[in-house]
Amino acid sequence: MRKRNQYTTPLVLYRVRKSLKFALLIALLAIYLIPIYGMFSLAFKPRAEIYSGLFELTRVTLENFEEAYRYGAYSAITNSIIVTVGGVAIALVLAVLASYAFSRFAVKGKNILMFYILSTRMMPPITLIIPIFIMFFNVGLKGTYLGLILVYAMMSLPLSIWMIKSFIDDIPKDIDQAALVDGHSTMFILFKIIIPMVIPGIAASAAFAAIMLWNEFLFALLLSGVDTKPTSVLLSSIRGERGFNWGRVAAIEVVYILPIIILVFWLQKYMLRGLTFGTVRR
Amino acid sequence: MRKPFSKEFFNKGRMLNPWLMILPAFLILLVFNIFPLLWSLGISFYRFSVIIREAPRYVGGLNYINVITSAEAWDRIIRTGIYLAYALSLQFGLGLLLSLLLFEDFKGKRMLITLFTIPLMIAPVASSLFFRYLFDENLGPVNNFLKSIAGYGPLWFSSNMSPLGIPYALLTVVLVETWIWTPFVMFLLTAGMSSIPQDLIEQSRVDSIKFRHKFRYVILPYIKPMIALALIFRFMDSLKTFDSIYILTAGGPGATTELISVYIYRVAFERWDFGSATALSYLILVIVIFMTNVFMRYILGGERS
Repeated sequence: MRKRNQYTTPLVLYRVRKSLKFALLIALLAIYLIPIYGMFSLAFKPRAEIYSGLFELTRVTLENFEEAYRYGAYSAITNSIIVTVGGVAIALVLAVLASYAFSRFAVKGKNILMFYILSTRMMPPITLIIPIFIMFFNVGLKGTYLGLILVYAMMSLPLSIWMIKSFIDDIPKDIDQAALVDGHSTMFILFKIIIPMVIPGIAASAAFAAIMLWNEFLFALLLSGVDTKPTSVLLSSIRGERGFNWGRVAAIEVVYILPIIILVFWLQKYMLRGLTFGTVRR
Repeated sequence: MRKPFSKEFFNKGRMLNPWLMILPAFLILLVFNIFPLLWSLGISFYRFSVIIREAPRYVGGLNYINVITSAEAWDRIIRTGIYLAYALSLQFGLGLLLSLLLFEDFKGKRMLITLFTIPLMIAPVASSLFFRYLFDENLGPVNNFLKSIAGYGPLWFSSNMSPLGIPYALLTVVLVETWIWTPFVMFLLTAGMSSIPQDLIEQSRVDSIKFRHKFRYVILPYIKPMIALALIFRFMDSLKTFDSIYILTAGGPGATTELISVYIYRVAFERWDFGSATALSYLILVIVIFMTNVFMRYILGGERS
């Protein structure tokens, strides 16, 4: 009897401790996600109940979304989609080519170039924005989609190159060599053999780049015009108004963040690479 | 003589010059990154006033001297330092706590981690704007709640001193930034902990060593590189904090939350003094590079010895 106790007591203690830990974790998660829940519940609340607590949702209404639509949220979301897709598309094509070259060939100055690309992440964007602002102002790109798309392509290139390179590095080089022996050209190997193998990786890189551009604010604030302002700028301009309708703001926010929340679940496998620029792999 | 099937044979065969593949990407970076970077270094040596439409005038290092001797700039740098100390210690404390709670495997761990990363991925503009509603001084849910249990709600966007030793407005910025970035730290530390060999964990469990010792001798050595990485990333990004401050307080009240990036933005696009703004941003760039090296040496170097 005594002997049995000796072994079971720590086990029980261990189980209790484990479930306590789990409970604490769930509690922290709940506290952590209250703002997200609040955003959604506020978006569906009738205007009269906006300040009546965070949780109760007595009547669900879509009037906030209608008002957001009238406010111009629709065109802002369209603008966000245009600049994000444009930026990611350009960056992706260029990054696939460059990262394949970086991954497979002995390019002169490769390490310096790769380090430079990584170091662009260190630069305060404010250093770049003044010359780009002057440049765009003089060339007439300020306030156009093209200007923002080009800057966004530049911003997402480093992340895309490093991430896609990390995926291509994972493919054994023997495959390229076998294809070479068969007499295929570099472009054939890249497009018919390598790319099909890293499609999930490329998609994940594109998604991370898209999230970055979708959320971008500083460049959009200074380089977009009245008709081309993306959602982040629209939201920031609401801030300056007096006595505005929080329900409408929440409705815009929900439309703005919902695609990201959906993407996050798909990206969980690649999260570590995405967050660390592809420098840490698993 | 080149042997067939050797490395040289493949590299110099009928293959595309790799530079042709790098060139398009490099051109974009050249035009929109390298060129602006050099240009802004140039601007920092000129007196460049857009408003009065005078031609840019070369002034040598005058902008740098002005910035270094300006009490205002130093005030913003010190503010940024205080902000960094509070924000980073909160983020790392909470992140470490969460990752320790996530140390053991259980069903649905991955899902839990993913849910935690949502605040990290959504736009800071959206979440900050929503926090403005949450922390609203008169009617916001946070103050409603505090008033109902404590009978008192602080003015979250004022320059009044908070019990933590920083003004409330700065505290609000710290809290919002912590909400956004803690998952990042948690995520990297969890990844570091998952690299601890399983038999080491089991051994420590069999020996039932104290948690303190387990942390010191089992966990810490494995998460050290990740701590360094997280610290470098967080340090760099915290200096860039702009979106959330712009939305929450726009640097106010007064200059309470005017951290260095907001300050540079204001100098550049409200006073239109491009020369001083670029000079200051170059000084910040130098500080970032220097501190990054220090972190690397200190944390990774300590491990080697």
